[in-house]
Amino acid sequence: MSKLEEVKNKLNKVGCGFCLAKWTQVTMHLGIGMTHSCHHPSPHKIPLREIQRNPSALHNTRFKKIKRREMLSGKRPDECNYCWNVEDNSNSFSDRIFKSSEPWSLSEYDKIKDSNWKTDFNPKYVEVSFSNTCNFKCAYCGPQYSSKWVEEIEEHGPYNTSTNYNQIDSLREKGEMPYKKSEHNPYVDAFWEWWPDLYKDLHTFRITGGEPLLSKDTFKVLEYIQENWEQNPNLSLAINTNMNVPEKLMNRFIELCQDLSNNNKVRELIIFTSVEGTDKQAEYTRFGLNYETFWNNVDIFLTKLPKVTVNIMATFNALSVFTYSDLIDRVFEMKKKHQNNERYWVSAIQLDTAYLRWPSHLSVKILDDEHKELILESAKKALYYGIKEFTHDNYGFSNVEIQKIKRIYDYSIGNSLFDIEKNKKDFIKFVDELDKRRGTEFINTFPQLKEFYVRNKKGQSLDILAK
Amino acid sequence: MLEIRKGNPWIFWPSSICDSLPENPADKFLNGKYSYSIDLSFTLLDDSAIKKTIFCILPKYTGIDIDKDCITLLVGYSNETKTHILPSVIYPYKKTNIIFDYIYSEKLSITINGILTKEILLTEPLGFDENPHIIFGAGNFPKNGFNLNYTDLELHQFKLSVDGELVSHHDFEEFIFDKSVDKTKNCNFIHKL
Repeated sequence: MSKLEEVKNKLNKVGCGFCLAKWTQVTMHLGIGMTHSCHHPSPHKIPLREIQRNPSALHNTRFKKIKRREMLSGKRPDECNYCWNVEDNSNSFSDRIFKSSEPWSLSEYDKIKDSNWKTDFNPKYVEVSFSNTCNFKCAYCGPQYSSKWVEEIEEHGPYNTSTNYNQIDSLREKGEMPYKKSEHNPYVDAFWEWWPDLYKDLHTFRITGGEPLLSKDTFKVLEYIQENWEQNPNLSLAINTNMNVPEKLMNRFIELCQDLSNNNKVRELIIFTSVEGTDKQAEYTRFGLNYETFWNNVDIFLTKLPKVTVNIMATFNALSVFTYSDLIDRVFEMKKKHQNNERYWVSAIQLDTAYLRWPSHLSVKILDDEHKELILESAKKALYYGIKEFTHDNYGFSNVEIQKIKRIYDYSIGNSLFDIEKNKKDFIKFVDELDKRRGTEFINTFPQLKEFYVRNKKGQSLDILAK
Repeated sequence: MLEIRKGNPWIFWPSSICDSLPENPADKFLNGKYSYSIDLSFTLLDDSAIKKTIFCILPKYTGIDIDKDCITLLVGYSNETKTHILPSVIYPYKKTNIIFDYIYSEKLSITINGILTKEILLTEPLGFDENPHIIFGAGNFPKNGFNLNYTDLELHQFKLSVDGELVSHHDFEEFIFDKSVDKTKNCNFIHKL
């Protein structure tokens, strides 16, 4: 019997919906006061009255405790239907099994199964976003994760796409508008109240954003670990950054990371960043980015932190296709330059490519076949940079890195219910409006899409005339 | 041109790096169940009397070796390997062309410098293996430590055709990260071991 099978049987002894992640894992969006355990259920609002009484309600909300009660009494919470679909319609293991199999999760099995559903539990894997403060407004991002986006939408309103892209009225209605940097955020207060107790039990702690380096709370966490690391020297620490914050902040961040890493105050330290193309095209998509500053900072980071790995989370979208191959060259250069046998992870830098699903008007699916072929060419480039035996002494692209790029191509040509024509129209409206609001020049930046733009713009004009 | 030095063989095994690329890796067609043709131009840079391997298909060993000036063709079937002495000579420092032509379960022929040198009528197919590959300049992986038969070679051209279709073509002019670029764009590369 495989280990996963064993874990599945063990979980099912408690109940067919029992999943340890409901206790051991949490992602907290403090800027909007929301939380969820794993990424599959939608985040839910944390009632302020709960955190006033109990700061661990950032994770142990009454809502979540009711879901735990369902799990402990053999029921399947509706919010976890992502996993139930997998379990009912395939022979594959669902994430309920994978997430519960993590050593930091499985070790809590007995404690959790014997616990009362009302009992608070300190999670082992924690992701936190302190605020949406960000100096970027990436084309595929939105007000919940970027204060720059809030400013833009408040000034100009939502985009005139069929989806009213990035409208904030519904956020306001649901009470999900992010706290402004100048506003007092009680969820952050609750975090700090809970933190000393939470920290000592943590396996993994990851800070996301907004841009975490623009949040004083990120530095406060690092300084806390610097002083109190003996309470938890085995922490795996991960921090997201866009690698484009003011030099002073970057230097302070590097200094703190050096202390934590060089003096073994954490078990590992991984930096997550993002980019999906090169030069002007990357800067168009990730508005606020200075492409050369980005690489300069990555280079400094990998030079000054010989144990750290930088992981690029690339959200491959319609604007990535023309320069992704050049990005692969650049990543390879960095792999080559910074490979050593000290890194926490094998590679100095990894390119982790995922496809963009939302907003759908930026999906690669809107593109012409000839553009999609460029994605396959990028995957082939990565393959030529591939390495069979991936060790600390070897560098190159791994099987997984290559496969993830190839998967974008498969996704781009795959059949699905995607409405291509509607999304092409939205794409044209979106870039027209972007250019107007931001003073950018789409055609000059993406000359490869000129014909595509003109053709689809013309189609749109004809539609208007016909109406 | 690709210069292979003793102890540093190169390999044709494009499926070994990534599970989903190349989409139809040509090495898989060497599994004994397909007809294929290998066209290899090379110069032997080794005039020693020590046994040497020009190339071999593994893991069911089928290959061309030179042993004391004799060219030997070893053919691997499912349960045995047969040795054939070829009535020809490969001269060191002289460009040579070998065409290895396999017709599934029917015939194996070897043409050297345009002359049909050996034709073997088969009563069974070549031995099957799911992960076949070709090593140039050795008879085995260095890490295995036996039957290595290293040699010095210059490879000028390699073509692999499957059922008459060219699926991999190397003139060894373009290299990326120790991989010879496949001119067919199928990514059926040859790489350093």
